Amino acid sequence: MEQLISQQSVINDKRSVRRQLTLFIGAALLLLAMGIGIAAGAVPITLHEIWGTLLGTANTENYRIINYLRIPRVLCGVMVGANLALSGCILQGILRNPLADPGIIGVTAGAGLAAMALMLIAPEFTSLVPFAAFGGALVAVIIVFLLAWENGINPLRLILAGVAVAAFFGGGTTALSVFFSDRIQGTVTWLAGGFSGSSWQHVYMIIPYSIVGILASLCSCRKLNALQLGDEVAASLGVNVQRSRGLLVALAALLAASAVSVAGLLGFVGLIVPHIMRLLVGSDFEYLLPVSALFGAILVVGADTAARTIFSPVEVPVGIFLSFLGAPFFLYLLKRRMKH
Amino acid sequence: MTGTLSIKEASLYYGKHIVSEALTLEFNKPEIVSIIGPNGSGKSTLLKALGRLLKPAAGTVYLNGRDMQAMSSAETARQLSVLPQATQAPGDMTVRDLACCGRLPYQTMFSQLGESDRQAIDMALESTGLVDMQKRSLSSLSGGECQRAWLAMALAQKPQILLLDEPTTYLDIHYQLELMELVNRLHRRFAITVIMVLHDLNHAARFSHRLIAVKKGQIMADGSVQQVFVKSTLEKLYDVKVTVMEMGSEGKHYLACFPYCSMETD
Repeated sequence: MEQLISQQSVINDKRSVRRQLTLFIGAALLLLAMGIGIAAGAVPITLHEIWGTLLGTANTENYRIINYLRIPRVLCGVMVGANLALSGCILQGILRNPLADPGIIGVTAGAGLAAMALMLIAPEFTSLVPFAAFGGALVAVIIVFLLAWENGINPLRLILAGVAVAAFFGGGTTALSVFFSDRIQGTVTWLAGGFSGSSWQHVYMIIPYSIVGILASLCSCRKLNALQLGDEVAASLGVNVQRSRGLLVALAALLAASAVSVAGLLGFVGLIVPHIMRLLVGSDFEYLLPVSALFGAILVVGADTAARTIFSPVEVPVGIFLSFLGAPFFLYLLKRRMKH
Repeated sequence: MTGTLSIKEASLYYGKHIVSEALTLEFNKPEIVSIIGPNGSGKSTLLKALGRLLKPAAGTVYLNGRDMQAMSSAETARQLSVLPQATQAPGDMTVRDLACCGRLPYQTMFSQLGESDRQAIDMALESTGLVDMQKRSLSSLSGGECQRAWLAMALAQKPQILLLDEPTTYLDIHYQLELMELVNRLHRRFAITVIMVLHDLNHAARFSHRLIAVKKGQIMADGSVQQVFVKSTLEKLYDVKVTVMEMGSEGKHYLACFPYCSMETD
């Protein structure tokens, strides 16, 4: 028996080394990205000052910048990135569609319409935008759910319903911007997505969803693995297919809605990150989910830092940055798929 | 331990369309059973109902004497495994990964694969002849090897009853025979009851102990190969004219049929 076990450990050596390594490098990169994210900016900050602030011993002028601007902003980026990547990862798994992302279930369109409506019709309540976006996203997802429901959720019907609902809500957003064209200025930044106003309040808004979402998705990796084998095989392995799929779509929706409510419409994180990670660590969700969350966080924090420092003092919304990064990659994926 | 499976007075629907009514069948000893019948006769629907993939609109399926719908799906999966006709898996998955999936019904949310799981997986890989290929990815396998990998997954569940839906479709005759011989060996080695839907009548006649002929959702014949595999039954079943003959080769005798002309259906 001993011999057998050692033989197996050799067999999966290379792959498991790559998986462990990706996880380790991801953790290191995230710490690095967070450090740079706090240190870099219009006012450069030393590592010593950051350390002091974290320990509560520093009393420098920069303390306020670190504590009230940079740290919440970096934390928001970490959680938004992780949530979006997890959401996309889960959706790609259960819809068995490599091009699925949180937008496909209506999250983006719903959040966009609700936030626009609030900012344009009742601008005095702009501080409530995150709540409106969150509510709008969930309403859109529920509509998509109801449309796609027929003795359970069929993946293809879910995608088609999502596209239809997104088109409808998108039309609403366009209509609003036509009728209120005089007030549209203030909404543009939100639509582009970014972290320029991120505060501790935003951190507290998203943190419960991140914690619950990360824990719940890590608990579902076995079910996701089974669902990848098709509905019937999953059922024959003892998975309650309809219930698991419903809960997982709901989980993905909450993760994405909480991210969108804090950061606006950030595209492509949920699409590219799980994709690259699948190429690196394979399709076992036990590894795919954690590394997706890690690298989603790295990408968003890194992109946000770049977006606000490269063209300093002008701050480019990180959403634009990500789109310029994401769209070419999307095309690259399509081209690769066509070759196979 | 021998598994028993029975379906009593069951009505099976596909969506709102009635496939079968008042179906009753019993499987109470380790044997190889083939379900034969024309396209759309309800063979696969019957297999799905037996495998808990389809809930009967009326009637009951009993697994080892217990109402299957009252059992948890994991409990069912520890006693019975089903392989659907069309299977799909991520291409980077290895043969061993797939076999590991067969242990899902034994695992709780956080438990790691234990010693008994490892033994079951090794046994499944060994009995399907995949030990040397266990680290290969599924995308690198031939159709026949792939089907064996799926069989290894089903075996890792340690089932008493194994349901296969047209396991030889998409395989060439070499792999078809290889797979049927493997099924036969597994049945003998582990005393598993194998119930499968087969299109190839000659395979059905050669590798089964019992044949069930299904037409228009009803059981037309159910019995030993000698009883069912006769000219009159096959002609009525498929609306074709057939010759049934006995072939001998290397001292063994097999029943075989040759359909030569289709008949008008009424």
